[in-house]
Amino acid sequence: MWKEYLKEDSRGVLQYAPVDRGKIGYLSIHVPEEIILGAGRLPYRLLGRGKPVKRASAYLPKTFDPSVLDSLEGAIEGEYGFLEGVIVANVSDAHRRLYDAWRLCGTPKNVFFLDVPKGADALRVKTFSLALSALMREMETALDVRISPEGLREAIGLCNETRVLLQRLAGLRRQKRPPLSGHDFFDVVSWAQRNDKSYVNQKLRLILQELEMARGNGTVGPRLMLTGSPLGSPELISLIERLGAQVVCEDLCTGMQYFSDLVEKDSPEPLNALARRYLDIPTARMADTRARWGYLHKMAEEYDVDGVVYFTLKFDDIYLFEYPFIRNKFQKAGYRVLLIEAENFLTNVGQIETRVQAFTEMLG
Amino acid sequence: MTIVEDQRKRQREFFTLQFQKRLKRPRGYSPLKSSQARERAMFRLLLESFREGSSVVWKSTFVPSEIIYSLGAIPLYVESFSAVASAVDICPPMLDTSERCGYSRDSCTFLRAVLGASHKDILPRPDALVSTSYYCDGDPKIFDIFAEEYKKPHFYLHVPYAAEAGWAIEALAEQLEEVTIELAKVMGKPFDKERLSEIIQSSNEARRYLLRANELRRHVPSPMLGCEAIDYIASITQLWGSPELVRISRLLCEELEERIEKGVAAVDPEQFRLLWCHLRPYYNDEVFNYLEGHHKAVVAFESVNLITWKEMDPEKPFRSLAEKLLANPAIGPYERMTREVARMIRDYQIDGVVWMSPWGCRHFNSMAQLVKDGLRRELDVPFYILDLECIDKRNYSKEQVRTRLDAFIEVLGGRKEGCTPQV
Ligand code: SF4
Repeated sequence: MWKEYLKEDSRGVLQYAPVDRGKIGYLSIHVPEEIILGAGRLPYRLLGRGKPVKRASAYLPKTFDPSVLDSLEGAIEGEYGFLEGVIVANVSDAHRRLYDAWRLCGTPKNVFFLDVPKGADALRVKTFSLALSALMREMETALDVRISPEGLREAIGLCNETRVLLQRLAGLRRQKRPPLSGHDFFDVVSWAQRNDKSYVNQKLRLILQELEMARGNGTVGPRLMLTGSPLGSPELISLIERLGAQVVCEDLCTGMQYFSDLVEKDSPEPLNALARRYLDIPTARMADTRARWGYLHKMAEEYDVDGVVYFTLKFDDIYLFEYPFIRNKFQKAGYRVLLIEAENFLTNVGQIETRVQAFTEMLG
Repeated sequence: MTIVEDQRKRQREFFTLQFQKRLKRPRGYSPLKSSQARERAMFRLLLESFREGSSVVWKSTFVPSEIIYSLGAIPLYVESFSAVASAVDICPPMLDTSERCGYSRDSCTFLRAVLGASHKDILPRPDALVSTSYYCDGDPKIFDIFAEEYKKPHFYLHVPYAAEAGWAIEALAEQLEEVTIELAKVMGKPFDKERLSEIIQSSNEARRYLLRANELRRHVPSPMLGCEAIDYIASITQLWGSPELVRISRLLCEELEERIEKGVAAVDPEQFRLLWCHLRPYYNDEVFNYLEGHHKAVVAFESVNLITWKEMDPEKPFRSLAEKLLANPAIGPYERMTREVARMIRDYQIDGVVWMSPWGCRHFNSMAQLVKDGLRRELDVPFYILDLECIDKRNYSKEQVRTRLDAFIEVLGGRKEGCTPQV
């Protein structure tokens, strides 16, 4: 029953959001949705098309993060023409160049840029606040709006509520038999990232009401944690769960990282509060491997996982460089790790299935 | 990671031997005295960093060496270590080790080589590590991993992308100051501003000579081979701030002036003038020898020798260093780089551009097509994206590279004769 809410999005959104509110796309979870909301627009996370690219390769090399090539292809093909603008963040070498290429050949034409430091200490937070205010000014000019501190505070309240609700939902997956699968959870988070927050919050409350009462029907197979590069679709999670395991937590920007922490409420300086929270997300791109390992280890323990699947997109350097370190740490802590390196969409399904199956059997 | 001192001594002896062999290698040209001095200075620096009692700071490309010298420490530019290791032919086992550890063959060989070297424990031990957000994602990531392995602090500098925005200089200057003070604490010394000011002055002096050398290299025919000049990497060398760089660059100017006066051409007859973008293959000189020796196409200038920053103010060292870093055209949108490439093409009367594109370098590869297209809108100069590996000789195929270069030179030849095929 609760899954019906996810299908209602376009109808539902209209009840809660005035029709004339444009959408602003964003690619990275280091982009504060609150700023988009503060500008009176709806944040819309771009999750990719999961199809082969053709035209994007005329601008960017083939040896490049495939999810970025995918986004560029979508921009060239006009698939994001419904957006009023898009925010590209400096979260990787690939995203930086995406900003260049999108400006040359993509739609929408309003392409904003946000610089994101890789550290979360005082000076980096200060630098990020400056970058955020530069972004705000740029958006104000392009969209002819004013983003006020009150507007930001209101948006912080709304987004924090979404985070708390999603945290509660994620918490249900700690149960021995979680009431929702990893695939379902992925769908909820993606939906929450693409719809009006008031609407999302209202429906999340209903979803929680239903699932907190429900008896889990999840499998009893091994409990897995999924970590690594961004996943645009739940394809890999479905594959794992089809083979009898259950993804009970995921350190993904399209998963639990999205609601990892709250923004300080009622801060006299909402921009600084945003800067702090959005640099505190322990993604792999941040240069604090110790904090990242601490976060991953805690998650593995809290969700009582039996093994870890580390997914990396081809040419996604951040993960390719991180993997051996994190694998060793997990192994020392007694967890088995399976590495899966793939394209943006799963081309070598048979091979991945065989490896996941072997891994699941080993854990079982 | 436990490292015993006699191992260090053995490593030092091993590298000394390798460097001696390297200095005596047969070359296809007779090098300038300044080039030999530069090579010796680099080797000395590396050997010093193996010496017991030396304070060593590992740094990535854009961390200004000036701050490290001001603390009496030795900068170890890790990518440069990989280049040296490739030149003395010890890279393949380093790369094999990194692959065995799980590092992907698709990522940068400079970084993987140094990861392998660290695993084999053949690197000078760091007292601290400093990285910047530029050039690439790999640097801060692996520095952080090294910091964990060596149990030493890692400081990270965020270089704002909006290099031309008013707030960028202050934001970076503050970070530079903070890092310097933190490094001083690690070294157990107070930070000495006067010392840094002196070093900035020395850096300015070397800059003046290197700018002059760059100007002299505009001469037609070119007084210097690209094969030799590219090793100066004037935009990023870790010798900035050292007295050696002043001596070397002064000598370079004198030698270039002398060559021009005597009418010595590096390539005779000079058929084509090329601009080379990115670094070079370090495992051999073949590509340069083929271009400059066989095709008489001199590499008249290299993007890595470009000096874009203005003279620094010794009274405001951090602000000046921030300006220096932010002046790098690789920071910010690709248009900045395109502008500089166009300028070099004009300044050096360039007939064609070779943009070297190693497989694993996301930073440089990603700009290639954008810069090429951007240039095409304002200049009619052939631009060739050459897939070529810097470090890993296992991925080098002489015949393949030659065939590609032949095709490019043919295009340049065709243009001289009046037809204008596109590359
Ligand atoms: S070669 Fe490219 S990827 Fe490697 S360290 Fe340099 S900029 Fe980074």
